[in-house]
Amino acid sequence: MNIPAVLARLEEISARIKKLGAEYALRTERVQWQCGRGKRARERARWLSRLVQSTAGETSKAVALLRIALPG
Amino acid sequence: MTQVRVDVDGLVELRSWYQATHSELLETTVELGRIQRQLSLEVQHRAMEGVQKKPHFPPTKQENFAYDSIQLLHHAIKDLFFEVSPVCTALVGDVDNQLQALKKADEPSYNNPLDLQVGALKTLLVAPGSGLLVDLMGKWIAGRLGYQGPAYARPISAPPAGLSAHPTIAELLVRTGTLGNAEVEVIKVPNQQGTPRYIVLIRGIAGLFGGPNSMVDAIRGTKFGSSAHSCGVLSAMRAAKIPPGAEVMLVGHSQGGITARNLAADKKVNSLNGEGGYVRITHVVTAGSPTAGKHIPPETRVLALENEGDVIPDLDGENARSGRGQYVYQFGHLGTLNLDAAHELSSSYIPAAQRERFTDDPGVRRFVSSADGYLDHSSQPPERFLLQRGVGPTP
Repeated sequence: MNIPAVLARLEEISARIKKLGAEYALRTERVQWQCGRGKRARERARWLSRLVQSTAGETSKAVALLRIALPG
Repeated sequence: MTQVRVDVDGLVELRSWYQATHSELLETTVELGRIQRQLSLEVQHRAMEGVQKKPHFPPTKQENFAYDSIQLLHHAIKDLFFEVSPVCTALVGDVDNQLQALKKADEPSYNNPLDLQVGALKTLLVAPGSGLLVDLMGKWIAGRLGYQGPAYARPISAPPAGLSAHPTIAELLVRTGTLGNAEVEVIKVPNQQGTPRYIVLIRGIAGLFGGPNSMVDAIRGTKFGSSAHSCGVLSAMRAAKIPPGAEVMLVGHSQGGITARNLAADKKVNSLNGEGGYVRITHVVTAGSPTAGKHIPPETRVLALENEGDVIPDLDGENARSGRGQYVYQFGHLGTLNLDAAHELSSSYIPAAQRERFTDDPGVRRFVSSADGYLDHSSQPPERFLLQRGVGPTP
């Protein structure tokens, strides 16, 4: 198994997920909704953003541990 | 009612971004799962090697890190599948619900006192049995007031600018809205293949009694067909020297629409409705006019615009129906909260005709494509006429 390549790919995935997570909230915020519906959708998107970014954080942390656990 | 500007295009774009991102996250999750499986095997393999070398030793720090990292990846995958994915789907649902709510908002909603009045009045007008009552009352009023006498058309100066090269239905309605009280405009559309075509714009009701486009005359026109207004519009068409047999499109708002329908149903006027008619009325556009009860031939295409918040189209005591060459385009109150505004061209019918929902409507598109001969050519400067009571000067 090519560990460096796998770890590099995991880092890419983590960064991409993090970016998508942040965009969920930003994009939802930018669009004009009806008041009640907008509030609900924005809250949902903010929660999703936090969740996706925490997933990215877990992946990133896993990569850091793997670098120590599987050198080379 | 609070008016909220909602970014519909933005919502549609957001929806497609949500969907694309959800797909990407799912693909990423699958890939993460594959990597996690491979890493897990690798870690197990290395651990087995370690055990073979030092069978009684506890796991090393490195091995613990490896197990922890596999566990973290497992959590990430689980979160993406079971937590993130349903929320992504819910967000797409939020956009769909919002778009659906907007669609509903464009339909009638009787949720405030005035809308309730409109709703009640409309229900009363078109309820089973009420139609007959409204019809009888209308006939009684019209019959009692009697025929209001003939009318004739007097040429007056018209704004020199005609229609644009490719006018839309909305532009025709805007132009109709510029007509003064009891005015009619005739627009000649050159036709390279033969006789020119003509568009006749007819102004709506003005006042209760008196002029040829009064309320009394409108009731008479609705119930009996013939009216002073019809007589005046026909006089304007003759004064504009529309040759017999020419193809004509009539556009009318309110009473103008009633008159347009009456002329299209009149065998002496519309040759499509029987031999010997004066012209071929191929197209009729009405806005805020009753649509039932006239025997218009199916060869004459009719586009009827009806605001659900407008009670005037229900004065015939019947629900509007599409079919037999007629297409009824109904829309909501568009935020107009009183009966006058719901009936006006400027506040109700023109904004509706300018919306994409109208121009993209399949029935409207069919009508517009059938009216290419009128709408796909540059027209000549219009002629304007003022309708007046009486027989007019002797030629």
